Amino acid sequence: MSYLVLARKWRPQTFADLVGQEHVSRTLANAITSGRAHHAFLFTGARGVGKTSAARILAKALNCEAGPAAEPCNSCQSCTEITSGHSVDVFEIDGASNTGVDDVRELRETLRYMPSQSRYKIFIIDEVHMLSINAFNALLKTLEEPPEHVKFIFATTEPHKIPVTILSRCQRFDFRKIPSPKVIAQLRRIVDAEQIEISDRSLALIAQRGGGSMRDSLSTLDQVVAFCSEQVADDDVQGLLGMVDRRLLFDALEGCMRQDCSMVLNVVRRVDDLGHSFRQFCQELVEVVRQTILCELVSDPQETLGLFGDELQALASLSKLANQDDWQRLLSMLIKTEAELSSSSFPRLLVEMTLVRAASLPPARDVAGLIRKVEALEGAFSSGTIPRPAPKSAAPVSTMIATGNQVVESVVSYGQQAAVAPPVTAPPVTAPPVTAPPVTAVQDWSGFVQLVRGSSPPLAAMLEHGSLLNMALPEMKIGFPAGSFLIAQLNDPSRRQRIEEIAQEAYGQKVTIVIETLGSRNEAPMSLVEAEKKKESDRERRLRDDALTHPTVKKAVEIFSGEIESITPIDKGFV
Amino acid sequence: MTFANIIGHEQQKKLLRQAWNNQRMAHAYLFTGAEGIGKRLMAIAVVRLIFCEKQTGCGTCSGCRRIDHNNHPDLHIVETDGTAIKIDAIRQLQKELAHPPLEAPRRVCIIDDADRLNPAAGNALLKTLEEPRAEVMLILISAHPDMVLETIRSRCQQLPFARLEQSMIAKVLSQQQIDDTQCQVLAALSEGSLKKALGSDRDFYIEQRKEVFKSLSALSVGSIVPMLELAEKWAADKEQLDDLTSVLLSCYRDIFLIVSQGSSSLLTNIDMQERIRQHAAKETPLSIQHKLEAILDCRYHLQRNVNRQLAMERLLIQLTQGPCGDQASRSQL
Ligand SMILES: [Zn+2]
Ligand SMILES: [Zn+2]
Repeated sequence: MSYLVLARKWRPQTFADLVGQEHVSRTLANAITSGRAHHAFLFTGARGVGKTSAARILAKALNCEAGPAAEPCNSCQSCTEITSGHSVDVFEIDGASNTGVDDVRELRETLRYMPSQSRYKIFIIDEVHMLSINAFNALLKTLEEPPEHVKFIFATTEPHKIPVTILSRCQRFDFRKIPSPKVIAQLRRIVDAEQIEISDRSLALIAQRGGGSMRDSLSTLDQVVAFCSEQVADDDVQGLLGMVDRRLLFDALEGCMRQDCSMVLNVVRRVDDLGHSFRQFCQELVEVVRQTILCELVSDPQETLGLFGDELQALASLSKLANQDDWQRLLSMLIKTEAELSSSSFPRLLVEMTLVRAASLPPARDVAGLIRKVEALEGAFSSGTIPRPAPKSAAPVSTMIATGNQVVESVVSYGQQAAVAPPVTAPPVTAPPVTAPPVTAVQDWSGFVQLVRGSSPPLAAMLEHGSLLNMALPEMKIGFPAGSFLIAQLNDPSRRQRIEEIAQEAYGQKVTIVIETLGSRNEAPMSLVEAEKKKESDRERRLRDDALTHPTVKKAVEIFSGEIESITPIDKGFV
Repeated sequence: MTFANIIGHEQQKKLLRQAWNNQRMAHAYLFTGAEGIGKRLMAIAVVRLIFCEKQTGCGTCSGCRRIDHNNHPDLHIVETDGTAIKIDAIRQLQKELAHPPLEAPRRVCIIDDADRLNPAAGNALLKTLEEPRAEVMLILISAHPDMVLETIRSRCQQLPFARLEQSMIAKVLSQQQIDDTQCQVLAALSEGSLKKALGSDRDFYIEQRKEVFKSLSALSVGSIVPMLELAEKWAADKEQLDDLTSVLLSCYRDIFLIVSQGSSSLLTNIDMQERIRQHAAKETPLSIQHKLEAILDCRYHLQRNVNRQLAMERLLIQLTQGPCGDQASRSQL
């Protein structure tokens, strides 16, 4: 009378049926046919990928009257009894319900008797990670000296909870999540056999929801079929899965990238009115942004991303609204929000806040441009050879803001005006355009190292240990103490070439880097690292005072009606 | 309780009814969705459908009546004992489920607040969920499905329930002699939970809401003493803090929407628009986001039993900062 869910009805009965775990099937089949089957197996892997099914198939194969064979015959008495759960020699134990040491003792009692009908007594312990530590210890004794006629099969989703002593006595098989195409193919076989009409696209959505788990996918299919009966329409599947209309997702993202807050807020309202879960909405936004980023990067997006119909075209035009940095930034904001949504009582508010924040951010390339300019200026500051710039320049605003995140915040803080006025790209006050003669500021050593840091922090870290011996362009002579391993490192042609490129950009002409070994005479200027050590003491306080009283900063705060959010040392070596 | 008596959730009703008609009821469901929107009522309605002698959930047959009186031998309800659902409860349940049903065609077990199953209990339930006896059906209910074991979720058909639409809640409220504006405000404040909209908080929401915002906007940046007094007053009423902070949240969300150029139809506190707009003029997009975060933080801390007075003082300091100073105070605290 009662309906058997698909996951149970279609539980695999042979290794061949076990989708996506071919590596397990092959090894097990070999072990059985060669008569070298281990006495204890551990099956691990995510939920619903076939661990329990594989354990039963293995039990059947070991005890099959026509075997032991690579595949059970599924027709002999032993096989059918195991399938129906009535075999007297195969014990399926729920590790979560029989967690105690007494349960294991009881189990060990039964080990003493020979199997009554079959080759082996087989114990399948599911959820084995739930056993108590005492129970594991009791089990360990058996595993150390197992009787010939006994086999153990353990299954768990949480192998890290199993003691090492047990692990080391088991042959372990890690079950994988099942790749989408395989899930879809299996779903297709099942729906055809069940005479259910459903499109490939719907099956793909169902498989996607299943997240690599066959059982989850089949549960979802069950739900769809329970609703639609034998003819499944794509729209029904979308609705049942609570999928958000793609148009809404695209509108939300477009609003973010076009900096249109009210558009974004309207989408949120529509999502709410339609009764979608905001977590689901956010998850789907993440997925679309991911696809938007990848469709520019992979060679065959249609295939790789599993897109249908005109989806690729839509993604491509969405992607053009902003550059990769912006999409990456939006992606990380959405991922963070998605995580917060799981425990929030105000999902709508959280989504509103995130999307409005995203829509208020200036394009990332502007911020990156600012950072580059700031870094060039830092170089100038740190040397002290360059006079402090006149308070007119807008750039030093950002000297107050160091890491990527803070830059973003700060820009937002005066972003209200900035968003209305032309964006911060190239305010007229900013001195030279990027293309024009190179950053002349970089005339001293630390300024140069600073510049290198901008494109390669590891290289800069090496250079910090060196001293600039001679600067007579086109030649730059850099010295390192004798015996320093950095000499060899920096003489590496690709590294040297990289530094030369950066130098060429900075000084506007071809530059040759020469790495020299310093003699014992103390003629070389201090390396940055050495200088830094000297300055360390009251650097912080001076930095702070300097920053706060600096006329440029004051002016900048005034111009942008900004606010000083924080003062962060941008880099060691900068004073 | 029948499907017809439940407000909203039309799709879920249709889905369950279809499954019933197509004889494809799953053996394990997980109903998910916010508190107080009707998940448990729906579960009971399903049980009635199955147990009813007329198969309609008539409400008059002995099967239906015994469900309503909670003494049907084939209906098992598992709930938390305050903090958690423990393994003993699951063992007890498994014993009962091992026998065929006594009167109804099936044994049904409803597990409310399934996210409260402790790990031992949750794991012990897995086998039952995967392959129960033929006549057994389990309905799990949770407002926090992400806190339910993944292995449990995977064994259930999940049925998500949306929050009730504001218009639907407003309609129910309007049958209760509340004027239109108040209906709308309440509906917006209830966060889609009818339990909340009809609950004892209603008076607080309608009457004291304006007072709360008024006393807050009366504070100026430097006025430490009045601020401390207000914090003390608010902190004193422990039971009301949850409502108080959600009222604050609704006001500041309105300000946030105004600052972000959202349509005014999105606003919650439509009866306080003027005051809220005045306040909005003083905020920037950044400052208002910080204030919203401050309120969310405060709620988070209150749920974890911090010193209430301290939490309220901190919140008030953050809320009364002008747009230029808020960051500084955040880093100090
Ligand atoms: Zn056989
Ligand atoms: Zn009835």
